[in-house]
Amino acid sequence: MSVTSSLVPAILGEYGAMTRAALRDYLPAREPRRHLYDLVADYPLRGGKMMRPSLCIAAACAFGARPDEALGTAVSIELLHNALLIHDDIEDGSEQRRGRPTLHLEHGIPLALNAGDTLALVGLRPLLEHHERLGADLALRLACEAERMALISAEGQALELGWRHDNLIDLTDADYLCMVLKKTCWLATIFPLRAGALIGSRVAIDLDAFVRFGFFLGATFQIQDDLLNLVADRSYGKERDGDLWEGKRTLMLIRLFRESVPADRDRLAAILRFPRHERTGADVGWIRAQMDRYDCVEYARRFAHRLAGAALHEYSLAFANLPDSRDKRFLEEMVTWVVERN
Amino acid sequence: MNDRPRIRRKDPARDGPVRDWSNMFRGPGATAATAPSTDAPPPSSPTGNTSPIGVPDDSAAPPAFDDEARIGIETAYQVIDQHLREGRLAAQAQAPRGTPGTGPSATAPPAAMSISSDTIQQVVTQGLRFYSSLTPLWAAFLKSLAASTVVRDMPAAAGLAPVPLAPSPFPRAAADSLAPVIVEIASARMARVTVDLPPSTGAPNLATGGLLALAPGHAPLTDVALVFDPAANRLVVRIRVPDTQPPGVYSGVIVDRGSAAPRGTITLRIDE
Repeated sequence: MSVTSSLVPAILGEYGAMTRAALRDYLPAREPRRHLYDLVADYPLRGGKMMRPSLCIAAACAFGARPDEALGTAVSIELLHNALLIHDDIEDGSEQRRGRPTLHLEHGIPLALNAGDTLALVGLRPLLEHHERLGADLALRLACEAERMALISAEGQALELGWRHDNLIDLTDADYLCMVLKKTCWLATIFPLRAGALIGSRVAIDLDAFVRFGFFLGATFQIQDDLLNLVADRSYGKERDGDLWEGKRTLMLIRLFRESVPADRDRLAAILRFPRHERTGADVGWIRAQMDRYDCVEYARRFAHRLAGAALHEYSLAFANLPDSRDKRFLEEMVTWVVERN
Repeated sequence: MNDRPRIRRKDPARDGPVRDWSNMFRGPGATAATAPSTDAPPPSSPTGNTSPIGVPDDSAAPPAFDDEARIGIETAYQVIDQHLREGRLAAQAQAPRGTPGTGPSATAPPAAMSISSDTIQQVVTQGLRFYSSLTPLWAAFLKSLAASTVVRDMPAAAGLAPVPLAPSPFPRAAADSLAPVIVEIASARMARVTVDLPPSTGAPNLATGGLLALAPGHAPLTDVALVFDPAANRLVVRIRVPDTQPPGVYSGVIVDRGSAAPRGTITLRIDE
C-alpha cells in the first residue's frame, strides 16, 4: 500500500463528479428560489471531498456492482450529509463552511433551518426511486438503513450538544469514541459502506464487519478533522480553532481536562462555561497553548494513527473474500488518506 | 562423549509472531516515543508527569506509549462491541414488527411495499417475493430443504465463495439425502437465481431443457447445465447469460433424465 495514495484522489474525483452531476437533478429548480431552493442548493454545490458517496459506490463496485447501481444511494448520502451540515452549523454556531460563511450567517437561522429540513427531504427521493432499479426488497432495506443511520446520527449529535449544554468536561476517551461512532461514523463511513455492500452483494452478507471497519475509519477521520481544526491553513475550509471557540469536546480537550492540574482544570471549566460569544481570543489562545503543553495534539495524532491500524485490520476482514479491484484498493488506501490529508 | 556442559538457553519470551498492527502508523516523533527510557517527554512537559512548575511527579507515572496504544485500541473495540451488542438487542426487539434487516425476514418486504403488477412478469416476480417473505415460517424444514444459492456475478470472482440464500420456502418432506445446490452464473448484469428442488437421491440424473422467458418475444436461455459433483455430493447449476439477453424473469423445469418426470424448477431474474 502506498504511503501517499494517488488512487484515492482519483476515485474521489471520479465518483465525486458522478455524484455531483446526478445530485443536481434532485435539486428543485423552481420557485421559491430566493428563500428556499437557492439555499437548498448552496452547500451541495460548494463542493466537498465527496468521501461519503465515493465510499458507497466503491463498496458496491468491490462486490461487483456497476457504479450507477449505487449512484442513487450515493446522492442520497451526500444530500443528507449537507442537510445535517446546515443544522450542525447552526447548533455549533459555526462561521465558515467550505471556505465561505455558513448558511445561517448569510441568510439567518430561520431560512437556513427550513433549507436544511427541505434538503433532508430532497435526499429521500433517490431512496424512494430505488425500487425501480434495485427491486422493492433492496430499496426498502436501504431506506431502513438510512433511517437507522439518521437516528443514530441524531443521538450522537445530542450527546455532544448535551455535554456542552451541561458543561460536562470530565469525559473519557471512550465517551468521545462513542459520540464519534454515532455522530460521525454512521453517516460518514458505516452507512455508505453498508449500503454499498448491500447493493453489491444483494443483501447476502453479514454487515457487522462493515460497522467495525467504518467505525475505525470514521473515528480516524474525525480525530484528524479535529486536529486540522487546530493546525490547518485556509484550505481547510473552516475557521481555525473554531472547535475551541465552540467548546467542542474533542479528544484533545478531553485529555487536557484529564491531565491538567486542578488550577488549570478549574480555569478550563470556567472558560467552557461561557457561551461562545462571551469567550475571548485570549481564552481560546490559552486553551490552545495548554493543549501543546499537555501533549494533547500529539496524543490525538498517535491515537488516530493507531485507530488507522485497527481500521486496516478490520478492512482485511471485511473484504477478505473479494477479488482484487481498483475499488477494493481504494477502500484500503482510504485509511492512509484520512490520516495524511490536510 | 563430549564432557562440556550442555548449553541451555532460556525459553523465548514469545512463541508466536507479534502482530502489533496498532503501531503500523506513527506520527512524527512517535518512533522515538516508543522507546521507554529515552523517549520520555521533556521535564517541562506536563504530560511527562511533570508538574506545571517543572518538578517531576513520579507518583503519577503516565502509561508508556505501548500501553497508551493498547488502552486506546482496547477502548475503541469495547465501544464498537458494545454498540453492536446494543444493535442486536434493538434488532431483536424490532424483529416482530417485520422491519427489514432486523430479523430472520431481513430480506422480506412488507405488504405495503409490494409492487403493483399489470404484466405476467411482474405478477411472477411479486409471487416469488411473497414466497420469500414466508421463509421464516418454514424454518422448521431447514434440514429438509434443498439449499439454494444466489451468486452475484462479479468480475474475476475466483476465490469468492457462493453466498448462501435463504432456503426455499416450499415445504419438503424430511430427507437426510439432501444435497446442496451450487449455482455458477456468468452474467454481465445483476442476476438472481432461485433453485427449487426437492431432496433427491437421483441428483446425477437431473437435467433441464433451458429457461423460458415469461415475457413474450424473449429468446429462451439455453446455456443452462446441471452437473452432479459426486465428490461433494452436490448439484452444480451452471448458467451463462448472453449480454444481449433481455432483462426479465426466466424459468425452467428440472426433470429426471430417465422418467422425464419434473423434479423442480429454476427461476432466473435478470435486472436491467
